[in-house]
Amino acid sequence: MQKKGIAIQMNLPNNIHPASFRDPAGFVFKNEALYYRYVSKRYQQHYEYANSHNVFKEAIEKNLLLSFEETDAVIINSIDHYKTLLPQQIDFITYPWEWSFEQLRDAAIVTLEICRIALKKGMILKDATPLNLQFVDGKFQWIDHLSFEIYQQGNAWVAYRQFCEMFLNPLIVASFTGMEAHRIMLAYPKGISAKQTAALLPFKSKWRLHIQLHVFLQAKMQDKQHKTIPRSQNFTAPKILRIIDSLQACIQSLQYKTASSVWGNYYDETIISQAYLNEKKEIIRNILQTIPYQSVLDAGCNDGEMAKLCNAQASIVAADADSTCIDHLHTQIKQNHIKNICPVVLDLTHPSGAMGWDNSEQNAFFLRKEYDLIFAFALIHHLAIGSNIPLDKIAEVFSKTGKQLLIEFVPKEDPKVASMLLNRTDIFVHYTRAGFEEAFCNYYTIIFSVKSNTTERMIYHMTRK
Amino acid sequence: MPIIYIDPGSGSYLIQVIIAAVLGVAFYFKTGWNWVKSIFMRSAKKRNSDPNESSE
Repeated sequence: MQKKGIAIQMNLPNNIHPASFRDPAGFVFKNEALYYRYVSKRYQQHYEYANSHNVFKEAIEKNLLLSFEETDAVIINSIDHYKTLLPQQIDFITYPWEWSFEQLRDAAIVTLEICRIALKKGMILKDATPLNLQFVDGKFQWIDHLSFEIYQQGNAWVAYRQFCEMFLNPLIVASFTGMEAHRIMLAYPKGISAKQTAALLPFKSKWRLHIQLHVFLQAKMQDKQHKTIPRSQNFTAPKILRIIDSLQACIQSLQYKTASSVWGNYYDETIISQAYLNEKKEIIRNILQTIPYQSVLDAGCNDGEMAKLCNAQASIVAADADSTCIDHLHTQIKQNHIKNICPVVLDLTHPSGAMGWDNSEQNAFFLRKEYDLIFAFALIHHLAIGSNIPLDKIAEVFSKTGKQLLIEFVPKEDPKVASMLLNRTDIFVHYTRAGFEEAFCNYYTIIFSVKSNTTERMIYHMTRK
Repeated sequence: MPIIYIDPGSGSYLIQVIIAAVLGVAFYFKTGWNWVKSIFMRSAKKRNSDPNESSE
């Protein structure tokens, strides 16, 4: 972090985004419910170059870069001010420790594609962190408009190592070890070094040229990095493009081990029967037609079947602890061009906490947004019985973040709950329909409940007190 | 002036020079190999193609 010349050291308001202070080229701030990007004069030549060479235009047209417009309003007045941008507003911010393997892979590909566009026009990405990407309108988009800089011949890609550590290595480790990408990113928010990656990889990975180059070779050279070599004018953009092609080929060739095996019998294992699924969908579809909502949190979304029943205008955060489900939902979103669902890997019993400098760069999951409606289908037994969370606490957490609640109660007679209790003492004396209603009535008013014809399950519609 | 606050490693330069060189050589051989393959593919195609089927 360069301290010298940081624009925010001037008389600037306190509505600057808490994660926007590392790059002296500008920062993001909030004004009257809208987020803007302040561009400082030190970025002027890069901005003008990007504009005149259509770097922004092409990247936006290809849905790789978040769209923006220049605004004349000088909201923050400073001698350092060059421009103020109004980017497309992002509905929900997600972080790499909430992304499945396929999501991290897509984010990596977008980063490489945007760097390729920049390079072909004489610019380059000066950083390559997944924190610069967000899931917008069903696709990962680069959100930092100040990441482009003019490429000087002879220079290498300044963000190459960062790209490897934050995208390539976690993906390779996930692919070869079966570890989940989001857990790797949570444990290593700054990425994994080549050395650490090499130590985790099996011998068979050494036969792959791209892995040999970007991981093993780099790991060997990490100890020798103090040696500096002179810049060579022979090192040019086409050579960096070759490296980018290699990174992309490597990432695209990776496969995530558990993806196919879990999905083979997915429906048999997780959904009781097709008849019940259809009945549940019909009940939910009917309820959704009668209630107003703009934003939804689908807690325990599975593969997003219920989230897809919401109206197309509503924005939905679809969360599940199973990253394979989110991989599947993400793939469906891409294939069907669904724009209003944002899938995240989230264990409700361990939701993402506040991260980064001063615990304020990245916000905790439940503090990021309040929802009009929460879905909690086939979830309560996992929380109450699977994780020993009292019903009252579940109701309290939901009521903090959702105005209305659509929740399915799964009684002890249900085969799924019975199997959970099979090999353990039943300590859940309050886990009854009456106990459930009593606990939730402390925070919510029950509007109505519907009993399933094919199972003992109930679906409730509640509004917050 | 390049901003190096993100990737301060000068070692990153050397590795990129080496990787670009290796990829260049690999690309050279691959192109050559594809050329050799294409000769055999072409002759194989000629042998397998049925003159009655080619209407275009």
